[in-house]
Amino acid sequence: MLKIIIPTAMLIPLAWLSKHSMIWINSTVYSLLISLLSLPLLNQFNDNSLNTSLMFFSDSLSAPLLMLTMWLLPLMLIASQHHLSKESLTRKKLFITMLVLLQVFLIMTFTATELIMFYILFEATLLPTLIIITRWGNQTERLNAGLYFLFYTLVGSLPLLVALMYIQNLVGSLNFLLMGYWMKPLSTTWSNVFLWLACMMAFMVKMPLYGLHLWLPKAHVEAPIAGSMVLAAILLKLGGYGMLRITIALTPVTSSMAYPFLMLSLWGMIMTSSICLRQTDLKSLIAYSSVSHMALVIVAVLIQTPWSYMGATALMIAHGLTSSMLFCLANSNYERIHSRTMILARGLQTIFPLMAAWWLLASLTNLALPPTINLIGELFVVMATFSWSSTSIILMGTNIVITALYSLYMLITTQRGKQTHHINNLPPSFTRENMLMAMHLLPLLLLSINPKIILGPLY
Amino acid sequence: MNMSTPSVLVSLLMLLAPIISTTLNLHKNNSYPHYVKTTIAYAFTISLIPMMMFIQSGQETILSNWHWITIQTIKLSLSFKLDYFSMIFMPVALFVTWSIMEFSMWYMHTDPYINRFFKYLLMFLITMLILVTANNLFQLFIGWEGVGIMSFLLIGWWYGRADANTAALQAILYNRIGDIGFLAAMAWFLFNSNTWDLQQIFSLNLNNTNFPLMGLVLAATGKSAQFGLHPWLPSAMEGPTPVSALLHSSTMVVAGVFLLIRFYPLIENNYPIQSTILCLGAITTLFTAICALTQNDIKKIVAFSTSSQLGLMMVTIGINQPHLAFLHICTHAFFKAMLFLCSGSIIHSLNDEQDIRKMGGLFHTLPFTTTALTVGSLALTGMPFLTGFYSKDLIIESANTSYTNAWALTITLIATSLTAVYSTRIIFFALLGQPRFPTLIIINENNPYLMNSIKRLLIGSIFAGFLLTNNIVPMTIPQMTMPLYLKMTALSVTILGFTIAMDLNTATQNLKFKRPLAPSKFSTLLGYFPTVMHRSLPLMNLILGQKMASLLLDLAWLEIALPKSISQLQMKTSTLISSQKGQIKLYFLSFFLTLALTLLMFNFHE
Amino acid sequence: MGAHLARRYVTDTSGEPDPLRMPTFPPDYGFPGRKEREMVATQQEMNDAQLVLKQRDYCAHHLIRLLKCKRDSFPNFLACKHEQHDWDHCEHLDYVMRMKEYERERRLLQRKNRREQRAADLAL
Repeated sequence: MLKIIIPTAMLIPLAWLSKHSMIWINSTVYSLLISLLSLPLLNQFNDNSLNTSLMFFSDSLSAPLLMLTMWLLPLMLIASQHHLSKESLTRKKLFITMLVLLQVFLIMTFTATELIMFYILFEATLLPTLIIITRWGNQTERLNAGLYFLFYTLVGSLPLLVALMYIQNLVGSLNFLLMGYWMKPLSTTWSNVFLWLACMMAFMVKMPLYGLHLWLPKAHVEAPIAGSMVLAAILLKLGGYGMLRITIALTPVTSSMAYPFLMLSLWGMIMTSSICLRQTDLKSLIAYSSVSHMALVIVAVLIQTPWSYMGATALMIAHGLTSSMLFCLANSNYERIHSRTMILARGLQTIFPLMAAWWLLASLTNLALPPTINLIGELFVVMATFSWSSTSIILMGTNIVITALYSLYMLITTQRGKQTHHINNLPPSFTRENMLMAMHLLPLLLLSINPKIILGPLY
Repeated sequence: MNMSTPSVLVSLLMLLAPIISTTLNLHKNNSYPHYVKTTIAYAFTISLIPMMMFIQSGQETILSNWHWITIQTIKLSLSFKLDYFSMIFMPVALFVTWSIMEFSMWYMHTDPYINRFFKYLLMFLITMLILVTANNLFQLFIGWEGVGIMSFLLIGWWYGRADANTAALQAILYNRIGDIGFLAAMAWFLFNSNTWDLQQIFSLNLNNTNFPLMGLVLAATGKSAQFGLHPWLPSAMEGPTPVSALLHSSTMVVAGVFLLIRFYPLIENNYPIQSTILCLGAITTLFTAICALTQNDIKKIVAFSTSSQLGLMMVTIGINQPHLAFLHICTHAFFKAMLFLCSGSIIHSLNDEQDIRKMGGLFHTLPFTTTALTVGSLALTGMPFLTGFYSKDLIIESANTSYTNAWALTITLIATSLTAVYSTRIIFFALLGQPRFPTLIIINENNPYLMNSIKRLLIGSIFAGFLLTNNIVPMTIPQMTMPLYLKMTALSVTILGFTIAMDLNTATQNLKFKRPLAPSKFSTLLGYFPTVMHRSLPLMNLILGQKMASLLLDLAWLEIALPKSISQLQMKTSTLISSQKGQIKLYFLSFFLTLALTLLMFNFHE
Repeated sequence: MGAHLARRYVTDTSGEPDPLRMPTFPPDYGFPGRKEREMVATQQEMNDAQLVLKQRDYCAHHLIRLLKCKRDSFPNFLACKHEQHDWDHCEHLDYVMRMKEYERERRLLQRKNRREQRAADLAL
């Protein structure tokens, strides 16, 4: 794993030592090379994990997420070029440093074998993200957003630390690999209920669970493009990843404790989707759609069947790519129209036909058109919830309808219709942007051909 | 060596070639539409081979190739079901699409994006063929959703128009509601039969299939615009006419009926579902026929007639005659496509005028279109020995003789009679009488693209039923025995409809009603359905989204519950503490006390 | 033949048999020497012809002949009119037979009802 971590860390000196004209190219190309070189990780040839050292391992659950993380760094770099073009060189380098730092933390989080190490890195990812949001965000509300982001996550995750210490005392190890074998079934006492809450709450806030999601739209809306991308694509998935990992340790308690959270997620899924229908702000719409999709993942993890686990992992990857792509598209609109309000940017299909094609494809993947991996994820979750309770199909179905509606509503409002009068002097879409969209879409399409590599360890 | 399967695959794969070529730079020339049209024509010719072989030998095949994924115990692979339905439907769909493509070369020739239009039409066709030939539910779902999305793109083709966009969104909304049913059925089959392969589902003796079949009925209701989820179909007329023709003849709307036909082995053992389908179809066929009566938009009339015919197909499934329903799908494709092409020809010739009140006397200026439109209307009403007769008459007869719900039967008969009424209305207002269009329009229908496409479908509308019924292998036992009055029922209600309509239409030229009567209002306003359902339900949902989800919960309660209340608390305490009086000794004393206490506690810890 | 539809709604339905659960009376009730109908086509023949379940009735042999004829004179779809007619006619006779069975069932049911009524009246 060091062969990934060290080169990624070395991107920082690379950025600082590059010439002015080369910083973007160098960092993008090298990060892309790193991600391509680590592609073999996806080849998890047996059921066990790849234990590269005592500290780091990867199995078929973490490998796709790891790959997504590494794939996203060059994309973030490509996407941020425009909005940083007016900044000074040092600030650009600082920005790249922040992204790379975040990347290193994320890679180590996904590969950590120890829960405590996982916890520390999980918290460490907050810092670069916070700096990215509050330093490079566009409006003054970014400070408030940063505050919400930091405190929601911190308050949620501090009990986890206590719980981890308790588990360490109880079991004697916090190793992911050993926990499945060592952990005794927990008895359903009140203290274990609190243990469950402490363990899960950190990740549920991160996902976010409906009710604890307020930080997410704020952070998404206020963050610069790279921040939105990494938040939507990876940081939310940390929650899902953590839940998938830690539920092994909490075996019998989950089945009884899950109900309120299942209900909350199913309800919140509908609520957030209907919020999407009334959004005027493009980025906020995408952010709420993330909440609604993540609610599906929470449901899937809490149901705890093989199908639902597979659905959860597939949905996380699919949603990571799709929402990141939507944020990029929203950003490319924003850079031209200078507003996130959808009503101000109508009829763009006439001006940017190729962009419209990307918009179309992104919306279609967002509404889970077969045979994309989004559908596979959603389908598995729907099947699993159906077998859990057949009436849940009503809620799931409603959500599917609303998801399709707001995705297409977003598409129609921005791309179709008549142009507004104040749209003039728009720069054409750059090759850089088109490549960015293509690089989001390509993995989505390729994974649809062979989805089993993202179905997780239970496949 | 069996030629059947390779030729099916060849005709399917051939259709992909024009789409692949768009990714290269070959398509940026004027011959792309021509290229697409020719490809479809060849695909049609090739698909005739398996059809003929099927007719001769009756051999059904299932092709399984390319194992996609195995999840736990369920194996998903690319598999095609080449049976009675798909083998016969493929040439029909290809033939109709071929003509429609040729027609669009005339109709859309001024469109700057004509190449893209052809690509979309082709993709629409391909998704439909995927749906038809799919052997497992997942593949069927791919086609199912693909058809929906392509219809969204095509209905919203003129994206500058707000109406087109709403219509496209409406189509997706209603289809997605249907998809809930499809997903529920998929989940049920996975749960209870552990397979999505059709032949495995049918070979298992599943009991209590009410739930999945209701799901499938819901899916079919959405896709085939049955009562309750029908309003998207007339709105879809906002798309270009070739799109309407394709949408209403051989793709999309018949997909729902086709799905139920596919599942007939389950439906034929489930009587409650049969009666549900029967009643649903009967209501649809009557309701939409009533709506068609007072429409003035020529395309809307034809659209409602499609809806009515779809209802009739559902009725046929409801009386447990899936093969007959399938025959009606095939025959209906020919004349319905032709009716749309004719109305397209009229609309285009009259400079995009769709109102039948502003037409009239067209049989002098558009003789060929007039001929085709008349033949199509007669075929639609079931005039003996035209295409429609062969399926429609049989449907009415078997409904009459079957052991069925007399109420549904009566309704269906009334709707059959109304078919004649609105067909007469189109003919009377658009073709006969005095010209009511602007005199300066130069009308010319002598374009080979237009003539050939309509001519081909015209021949199809006259002979297809005859050829199909004579060729296909009997899969059921035809109902031949009935008294004379039942035999004549279908014909006599149609003739009755014709006579009444003719009288009423002539009456309109002499008599004038002072104000529209209540039934007329009901029909013109589409049964108040759009007014009630389209205003209230979405409004309610959007208000819910805004008021409850967004304003009440997200922006108020959830904010107050956590962040606001905490910050409030902190503010309160900090103001409380910071309003101190400078009593530094006291503060240090309290600090010292805590320190001392801590030390004490640590000392006595052990 | 359509009449049952009207009867089911308009008049008394108590003596109306359920076509899906027929015959409720023994077949030779009132027909002492009634023979069972003869099935001409054997199971093997029907299997070989790949007939669907619905078509395996007393006229199946005609259908098999029709299918064979169609296959032999394949491109000429107008051939085999005689065979077609034979099959249709056989099906017609079969239908008439079934309708007669239905009528018999109905009348027997009504008679049964009448008798029960009379017995009940006598008992009073």
